[in-house]
Amino acid sequence: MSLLSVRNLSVAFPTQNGWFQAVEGIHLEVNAGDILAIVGESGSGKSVAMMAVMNLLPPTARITCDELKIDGQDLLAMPAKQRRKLNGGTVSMIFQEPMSSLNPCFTVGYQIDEAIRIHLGGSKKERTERVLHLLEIVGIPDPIRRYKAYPHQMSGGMSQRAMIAMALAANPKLLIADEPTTALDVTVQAQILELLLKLQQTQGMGLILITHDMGVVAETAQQVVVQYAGQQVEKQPVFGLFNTPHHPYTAALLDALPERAPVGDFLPTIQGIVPGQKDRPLGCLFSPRCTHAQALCREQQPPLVREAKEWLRCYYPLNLAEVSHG
Amino acid sequence: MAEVLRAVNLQQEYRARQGLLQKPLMVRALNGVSFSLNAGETLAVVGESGCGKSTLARSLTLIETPSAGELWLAGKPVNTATKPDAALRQRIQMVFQNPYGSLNPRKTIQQMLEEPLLLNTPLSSEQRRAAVADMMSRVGLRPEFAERYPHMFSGGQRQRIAIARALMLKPQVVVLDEPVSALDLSVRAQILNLLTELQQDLGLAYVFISHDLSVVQRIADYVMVMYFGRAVEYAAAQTIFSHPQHPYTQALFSATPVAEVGEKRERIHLQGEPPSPLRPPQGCPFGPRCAYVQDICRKEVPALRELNGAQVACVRAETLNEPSLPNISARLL
Amino acid sequence: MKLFADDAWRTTWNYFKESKGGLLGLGFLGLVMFCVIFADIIAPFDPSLQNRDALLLPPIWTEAGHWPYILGTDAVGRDVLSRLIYGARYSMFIGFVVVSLAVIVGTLLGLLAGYYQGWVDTVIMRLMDVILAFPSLLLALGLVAVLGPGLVNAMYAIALVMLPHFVRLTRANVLSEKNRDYVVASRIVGASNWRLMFNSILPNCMAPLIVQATLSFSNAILDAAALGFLGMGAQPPIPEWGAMLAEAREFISRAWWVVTFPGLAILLTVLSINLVGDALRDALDPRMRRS
Repeated sequence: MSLLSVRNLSVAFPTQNGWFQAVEGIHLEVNAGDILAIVGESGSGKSVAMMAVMNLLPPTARITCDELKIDGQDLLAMPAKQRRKLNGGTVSMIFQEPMSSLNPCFTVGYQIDEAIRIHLGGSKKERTERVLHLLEIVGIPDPIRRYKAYPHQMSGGMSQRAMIAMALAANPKLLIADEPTTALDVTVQAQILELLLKLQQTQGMGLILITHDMGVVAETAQQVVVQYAGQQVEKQPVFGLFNTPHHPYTAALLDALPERAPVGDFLPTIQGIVPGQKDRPLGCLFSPRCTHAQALCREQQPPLVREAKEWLRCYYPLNLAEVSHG
Repeated sequence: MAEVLRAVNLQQEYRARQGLLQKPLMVRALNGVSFSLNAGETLAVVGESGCGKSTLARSLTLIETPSAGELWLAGKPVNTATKPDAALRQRIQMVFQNPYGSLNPRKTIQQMLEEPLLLNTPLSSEQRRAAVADMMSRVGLRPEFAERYPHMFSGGQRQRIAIARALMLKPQVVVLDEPVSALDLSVRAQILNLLTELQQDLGLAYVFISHDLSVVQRIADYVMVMYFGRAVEYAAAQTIFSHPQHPYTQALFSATPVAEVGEKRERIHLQGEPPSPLRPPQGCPFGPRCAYVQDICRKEVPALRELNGAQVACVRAETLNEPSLPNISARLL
Repeated sequence: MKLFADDAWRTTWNYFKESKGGLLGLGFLGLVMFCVIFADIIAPFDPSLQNRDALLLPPIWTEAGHWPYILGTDAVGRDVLSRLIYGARYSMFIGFVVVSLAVIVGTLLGLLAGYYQGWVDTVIMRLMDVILAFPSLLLALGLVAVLGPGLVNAMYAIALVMLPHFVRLTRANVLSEKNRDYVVASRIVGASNWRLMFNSILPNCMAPLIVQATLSFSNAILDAAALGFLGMGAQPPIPEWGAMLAEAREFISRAWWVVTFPGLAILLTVLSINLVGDALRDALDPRMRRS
């Protein structure tokens, strides 16, 4: 049984000029012990999709979904109150800005304690012991002193560790990390990623890593979902994605990375920009920027096709012996 | 090639208030940085937040006058003690990290791009208009968009506007403060290519401030690694990427994730975080996090010295075992 | 210098019109402005014309009331409706002059304080603290007592009382704007302090100032009415609404209309301005906008 299963999730927001389709047709499946990365540029809907899973979007958002199950429980049939209980319990989330995710008015210990109180309960003494234990496993030195520290007394790296401790308070089965290291320095980023991987293994959690950094993906993920303009364009195991990308967008994105580009003065680029609400093309959303686009791509949106463990939304995939049409 | 920028022992101090009644403490954000840069070359300044790289940018562009040290622009000394000469100031311009904050939301592109000309040249309004149109097409923007406001452009286009503004006065040196780190991946390459193209055409010298080593490796001629307000290693890009000598440089390279899936490489595990400028450590500032630290390191702050074609601020650099090179530098050569 | 882009005006209006209260307030203010402009044409009587045959006549819908005194007459036989219509001129004039004075001086001081900081800041802000330390109406009363009663002096006094709000608001905005990258960018290309203050920073601080000015407009009318009521503002026979209330005070028990209608006029005008101000704040504040 999969830990998280999402079928055909779409999210739209009302704007002055009608509905804006932020997420369109996402399929996800995460098992215990899996590390899934969702990569995409800004506006690709990667965060919005996860916020929809966590039920954190404003009520004006229109969310449609064929199936949304966490740990076998059907979220679509669940009352809102029960769903809220799931957050922080079975599923936890950490965010990009550790400094603004912690409440500056309360001590770190108090905030972690609160998370435990809500989900696990227990006596004050038991809870305090658990807080200290959590601070220790996320690698915060001198937990007893840090228990009483306020967020502003800690560095960015320490705050993110505290956030992780809080997310782990109720032994979640699934942890969603939304750009957890983007605001941190390289050496601290390495520490935090290492910590997340270690915890994921020891606790047997499923981990969803939302990021735009291909380097982080390559070094941590097992499965990778690539998003473009709200759509899922490709899903592959990490090795395949980096060595034989099928979608032209993935391939072009990887080619444009300074460390992967061929030697020379200029980098290969993707012309143009991501389509906005007003200039969405008729066919494939990537077709105006795609060097492989044909007439069919401009006329009709390619469907998302499943092939064993891979998903793909393209009529003319690259690096594939056999072309499979939808 | 002609030297266009030289910094000698630049220092920048700030006053840090501790409490209401305590004496304010002097904090050195920049602690003696020296380098020289030729026309058409790029010096990359690398380091983590708080290492002094942004302070360096502010000192070089004379937003803040350095508290000590010398600055030479195009062979002329910049008087850092008094208000800098306007003509000299025009020769060094800057591009900021965040194109959403660096463009005035209430001004059109035309107004923003012609401001430098309006303030520094006797050009007529038609001449200015022509110069703006010329510069816009040069950086890949349609000149018809001159009357538009910044919010009507995407992040990449805004950064093109910011670059155009920096070039309006035909500077010789451009300080680029993380110019692509706020941009999306697919746009990043476009802007980097534009910068390369402009450098080749106009013979610009770049001071490229960045934390992204893969970008630095791509465009830098020289690299200066900074830690705690000092340069810890300064060398030609090829030298430093193929043979990093300072333990911090090695750790930094090793911590940078690389977008390639292959054999797992050994990481250098760096413990802790950079020290607080209010409580500088004894001796080498990297000492508390360094795996090779010995008593000699705690005695005094190591100075930069020549070693294997690079300048390294580590007393033990010769004795260190070279770690297995991170992929990132292996691929450069 | 253009404070807003053309399309910025349009977006602001698009957001503004979503607020029903704001539209309602704008509608009523339109009516008041109509009275201000066309008072000579629409008012049935001269505001100081006394009719000795019609003293304290009640409004037309009561049994004793009769045409053409729609809202009745006051103790000396002047038409209440005409006085209200002409009074709108005074209220709008007071609001406009007081707010303009406070905005111009306040913005300038706030800009200097926020931009230069140091001793300039200290001097200006402590001075403002002193003004704020007085109860505002008491300070205005004291000033009028020194300067001599009258509408113009009352307006000076009210403007001074309002000054600190504008200074503080401008200063706070300048402090947050002046270290933004676009200001630094202008400095690098050689912009002078003067240019940075007025050309780069000030236009980006205008939105909250416009809102504060709108809300102060109603305060100015209220304060002027209060001073008029206390006999320190507009002097008889000027048909200023507050002064009208003061004159009618002694008839409050037997002729309700002479008190009620000026009071109602003040209430509705102030309410409308506040509604417009609130709607404007929501429309100008990007955080309130739905993306």
